[in-house]
Amino acid sequence: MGTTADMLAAIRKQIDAEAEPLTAVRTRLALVRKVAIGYEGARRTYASGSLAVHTMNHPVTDGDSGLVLDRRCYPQLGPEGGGEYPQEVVDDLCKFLGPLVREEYPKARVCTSKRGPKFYFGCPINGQDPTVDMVVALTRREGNGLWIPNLAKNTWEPSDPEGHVTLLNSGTASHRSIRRKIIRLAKAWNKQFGEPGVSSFMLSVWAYEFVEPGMGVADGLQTFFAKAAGRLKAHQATPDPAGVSANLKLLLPANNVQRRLQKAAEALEEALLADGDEDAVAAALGRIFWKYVDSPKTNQLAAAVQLLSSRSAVPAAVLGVSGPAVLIPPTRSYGDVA
Amino acid sequence: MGKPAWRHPPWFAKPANRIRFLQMLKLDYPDAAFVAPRREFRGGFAVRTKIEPVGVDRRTVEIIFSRGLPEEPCVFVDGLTDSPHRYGDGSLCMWFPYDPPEARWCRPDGPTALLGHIAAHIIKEEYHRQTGEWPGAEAPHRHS
Repeated sequence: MGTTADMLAAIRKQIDAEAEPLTAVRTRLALVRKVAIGYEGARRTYASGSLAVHTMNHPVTDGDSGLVLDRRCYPQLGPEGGGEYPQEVVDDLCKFLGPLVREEYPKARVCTSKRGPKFYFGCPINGQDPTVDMVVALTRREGNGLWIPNLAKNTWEPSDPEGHVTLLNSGTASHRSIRRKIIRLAKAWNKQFGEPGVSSFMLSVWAYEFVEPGMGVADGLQTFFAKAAGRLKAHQATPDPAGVSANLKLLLPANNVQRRLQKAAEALEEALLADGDEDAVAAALGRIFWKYVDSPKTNQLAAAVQLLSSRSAVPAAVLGVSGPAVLIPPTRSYGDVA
Repeated sequence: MGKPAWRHPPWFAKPANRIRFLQMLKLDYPDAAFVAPRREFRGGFAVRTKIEPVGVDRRTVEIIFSRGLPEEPCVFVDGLTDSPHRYGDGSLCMWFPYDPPEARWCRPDGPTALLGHIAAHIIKEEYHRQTGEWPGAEAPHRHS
């Protein structure tokens, strides 16, 4: 392996999910799925999200699952039934599942998220208390995938969470492994920003599209950043890889995200070009993974930026200015925000 | 044509004010020195010094007060100039000029505070070059 790959491996070690919370979330997910299958009209359950596609990073926050209902038991439910909205069945499911989960986790609470019941267990492990999200779903009469609720709008939307898991777990063992590593690194990169610009799912879809068999982690990640930046620059949308739901959306304006991706692609290219030079690689990777690469200058810059991002005044000395103790108030930088 | 309206001379017209400004800088930055202002700021007052904002290489800073806007410093820095927050002439856009005094530098704050603003801006620019993200608040130009 080259220096870049070695350093990326060291970053991966820092973002690895810990074994105990990972086991805990799997146990919790299995429990919720086991009790949910006893709900009236339950057809099957499934696991989805980063746990199912093996791209969970530290800290372990949640496990995703779904409960598919038998349409014959709920003929009025959903756009292809009587048009009934999801809120009532989700509330009923919460009432059913709560007491059963509390038999094993007495402090557990169940609330509703955007897609269905959400379980809080009140039982932290190594400071992490992963939740479990369950999506209530209906099979679609026409087309692939499922109808899943949007409780914020009280509507049903088409999606294919099971199909996404199949796609993201496809390919040869080595290709899958490389792709997962790239997704985990991309997620860590994205989370460093005060406001992440891309959803974890969109990062996974980009990795699915752009990382090709035969690529290593370093060149695969560089391709990932470069191609994602290119797509945004060309104003192209990212379609759902299962072809069921609408195009994926960014969390921030496209030009902001494009700039971030472009910078990351350039820095990684620089690291790969200087692969024998450990300092140069560290400096280049420090520009992408500033929270993970131990470069004094990068660490200082990140610490100063953290202070400058807050809305309070910063002592001039902290910014490297010597002299009398003065506070620098936050200002609104003026200029052509590209 | 009549005589132009009388204007109060800029604060730096008095040598004592210029010397005081420089001496305050020299206390901590001994290499600070008067320089001839650039052609477009003829008749203004300029000083040059070097600062090393944290996480950034040492930079040469030129602070210029013009006759037209004697309270508003124009700041030029050597090195890379790609930044979303520069004026057309390359000087730093550190604050929105119409923001209240507490959200920008004013002369009574002193030269150290001005260097603090400059260091903060250089740090933000460096971070933006590395990550594509601008830390802190922004006020876009009207004609962007």
